[in-house]
Amino acid sequence: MSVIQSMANQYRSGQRRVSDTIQSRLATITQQDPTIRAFLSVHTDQALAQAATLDQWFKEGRELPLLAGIPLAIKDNIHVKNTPTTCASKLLQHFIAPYHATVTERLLNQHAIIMGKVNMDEFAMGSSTENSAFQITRNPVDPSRVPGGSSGGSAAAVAANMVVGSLGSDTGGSIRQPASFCGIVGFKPTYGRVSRYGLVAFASSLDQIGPLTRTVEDSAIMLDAICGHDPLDSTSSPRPTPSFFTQLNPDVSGLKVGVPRELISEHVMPEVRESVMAALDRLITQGVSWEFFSMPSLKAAVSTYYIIAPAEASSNLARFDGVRYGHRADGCATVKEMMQATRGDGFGDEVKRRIMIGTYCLSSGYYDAYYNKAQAVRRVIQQEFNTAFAQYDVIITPTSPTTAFSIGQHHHDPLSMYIADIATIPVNMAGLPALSIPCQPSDPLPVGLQLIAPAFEEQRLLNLGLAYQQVAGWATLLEVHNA
Amino acid sequence: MISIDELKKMAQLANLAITNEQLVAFQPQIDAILDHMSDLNDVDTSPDRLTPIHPSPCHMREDIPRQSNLSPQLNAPQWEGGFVVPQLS
Repeated sequence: MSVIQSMANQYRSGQRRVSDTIQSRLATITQQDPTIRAFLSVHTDQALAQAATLDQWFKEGRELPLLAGIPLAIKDNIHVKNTPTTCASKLLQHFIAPYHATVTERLLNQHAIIMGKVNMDEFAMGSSTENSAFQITRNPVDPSRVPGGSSGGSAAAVAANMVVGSLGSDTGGSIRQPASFCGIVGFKPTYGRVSRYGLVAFASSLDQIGPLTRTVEDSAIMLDAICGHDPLDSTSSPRPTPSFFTQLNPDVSGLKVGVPRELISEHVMPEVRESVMAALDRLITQGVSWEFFSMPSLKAAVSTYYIIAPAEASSNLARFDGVRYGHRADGCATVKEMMQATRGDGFGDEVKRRIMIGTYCLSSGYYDAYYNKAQAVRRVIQQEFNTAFAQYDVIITPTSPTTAFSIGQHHHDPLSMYIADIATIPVNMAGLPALSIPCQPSDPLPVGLQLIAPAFEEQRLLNLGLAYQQVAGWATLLEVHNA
Repeated sequence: MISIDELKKMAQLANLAITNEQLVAFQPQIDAILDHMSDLNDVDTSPDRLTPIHPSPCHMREDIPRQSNLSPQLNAPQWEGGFVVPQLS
């Protein structure tokens, strides 16, 4: 059952007031966030004022959208007008967004309530939310572990019941991997399905905004609100967007699933492999058939990504020069010195490392060997997906080869953390939609199941996700994680 | 292997002030990352391996110069006939 729909029904029937929901979620934030540290800013006054207005409107019997009065959180690289957008960076610590991102505008048009902005890896660079300049977010399932990243705050806030849903951004797995680590649902839509206007750019050919929720139905409701063409984003697709929620259908019998051998290899933790295999067995009971197949280029996906994304980042982040945005270093004699000092002070180690790698790969002596080669390999990855989708309706992999790791575990070895993005990165390379759902209540940590479909086939993923959610006994899963 | 001098050059090109301690810490990490990228060479990207690109179903608007929909002032709260930025100290 959709958490959003159930809440919306209670508002309409007068069983529950929006103000009570908001106050109760604010109390959860006050109680839990000193440990979890998901929020960078909480918009208490705006949320309560909006709730009071909505209560009045519900009392008057107004017809309101499903998202009216639903408490949500927004990743801190997506603009909410007149509130801070820090990207979890010292460089933007005091930056106030001058306009709404298109996704924010669309959620507010549905009268959703934005409870605040949530933590992330600085400029979305990381897989653990340890790279935030302000705080480390902890996994609500086990606070000694990371929530994943870079949308770790978005995932933790949902998993800890501080909000019903949140928005994250996904450049190489940043929605799906934290959803997997925290035992919730994360959806990365097709590139172009959701406007990126008002999202601070990391790697523009890969970035995509998507929802993190407790259930597949809630994911569909949030997608309905945020998808669709936007003239303010030239990469936004003009394809009409169906109503994903009303077209949800868990009858998936006859669906053919392919499982790439390369992503369920010896590098995957045994408990993750076991969970995924058990999930595949459960899908058979729903009339789905599956088989292994091979995508040899996947082995080079991580390298491809860690050339293309830093190259784009080194260009995108050049705008943070102390002149136009945020922090500026004092006491410099020249503009050049001021820019270098501002960026040196303002960016953290991971951002610096990636900017330097990107600059290196784009420099004249190495451009062909790295950047051009990576772009060609990206084409091969896309082609292998096309070939696979000629045979299979959906591709299934573990979302991550591991469960949530301990805080600090990969601190001195960034490469080991990069390699763990192996299953999520290829999806961004090909611009495809993908859904991460919890496999089953695992003992003690959640395992994510990643479903991948051809471009613009979000509905197929939601239907299969819903079928799995029903057969896996989601209610039990939520109970375990809420315990 | 990437050298400290090459890293210094990259930092300069990227307008990044980097301390010597940071360079020493980054050098083996970036070196390991670049070394890992050698697996790109295992993928055949010869022209006959890559299929021709088909026209995208995404339609771009026509590339005709026109007045912007947005005034720059909308994104610049401090505007006095130009962007107002803090003075260099």
